[in-house]
Amino acid sequence: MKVAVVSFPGTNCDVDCAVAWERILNATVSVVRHVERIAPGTELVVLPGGFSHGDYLRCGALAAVAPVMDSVAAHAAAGGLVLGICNGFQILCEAGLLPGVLRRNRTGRFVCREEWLRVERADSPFTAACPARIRLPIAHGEGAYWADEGTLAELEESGRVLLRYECNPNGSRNDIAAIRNAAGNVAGMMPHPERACDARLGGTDGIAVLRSVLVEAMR
Amino acid sequence: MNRYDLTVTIMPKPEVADPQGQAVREAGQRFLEREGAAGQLLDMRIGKVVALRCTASSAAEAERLASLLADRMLANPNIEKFRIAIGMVEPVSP
Repeated sequence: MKVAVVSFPGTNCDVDCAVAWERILNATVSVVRHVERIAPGTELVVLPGGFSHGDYLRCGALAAVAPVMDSVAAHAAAGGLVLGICNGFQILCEAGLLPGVLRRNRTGRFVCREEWLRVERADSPFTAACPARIRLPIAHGEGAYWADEGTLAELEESGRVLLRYECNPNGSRNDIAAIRNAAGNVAGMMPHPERACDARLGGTDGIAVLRSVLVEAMR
Repeated sequence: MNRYDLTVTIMPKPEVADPQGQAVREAGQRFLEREGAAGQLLDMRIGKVVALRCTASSAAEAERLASLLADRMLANPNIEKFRIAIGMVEPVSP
């Protein structure tokens, strides 16, 4: 599998993602800089976590207009897989590839801990290999998913919520931790699956998220 | 071409919670209480002001540029609204 991990100035989970996808899926991973383009033949684009452009203006807002995003949008429009994790989720929302926006946590505090998540969909390339509940690390100050009532209703009715917090840590509407687009090929999640791919480092539940793309492909 | 100064004021929409504004309001209320003005600070919302300067052939074009920036980048229409104020600085010699 060919994976492109996009790195913006201030991204800090790019290496974690590259290592995780290489180890778990034996993927060929290239790190693509914010001024470059996604190479033809790429199957999955990962927008990793971090603080792209220092979270200036709004988290993800400057990354969303970076040159690389034109080719990410083109990849998505052609049906290619895109996964945004944490800051990557914020970037996808700011870029309009996913609806809604991530806002400051209700408590105003940065939260860094593990959370239990309810897996809502077994038919997504990002959750197909997951059991009914998984435990993943979160680490964010702005992870409260917000969308207006109409958008929220549409997400729920069309089954586009992928993961929900069992115990809401940030004030996310409807306890949302991960969503997908209407076509199903673009997803964003606040939890960090790449940080839970080694029993010595924060558990192994993230492996199921990474493997989901293979399970879905076998259908 | 003329040079224009524009101010984009961005505020969170009223229906969207503003934890920063709320935290600062609560601190402000405690402060004013000590200053003898208990109960007088009713609300506070925090937004952003962006001052920008551009060249354009007309005020309308300058406003269009600022509006494009504000709508697509400076503000997030999901949660924020903005308004633009314009003033010409000086003509630019060709």
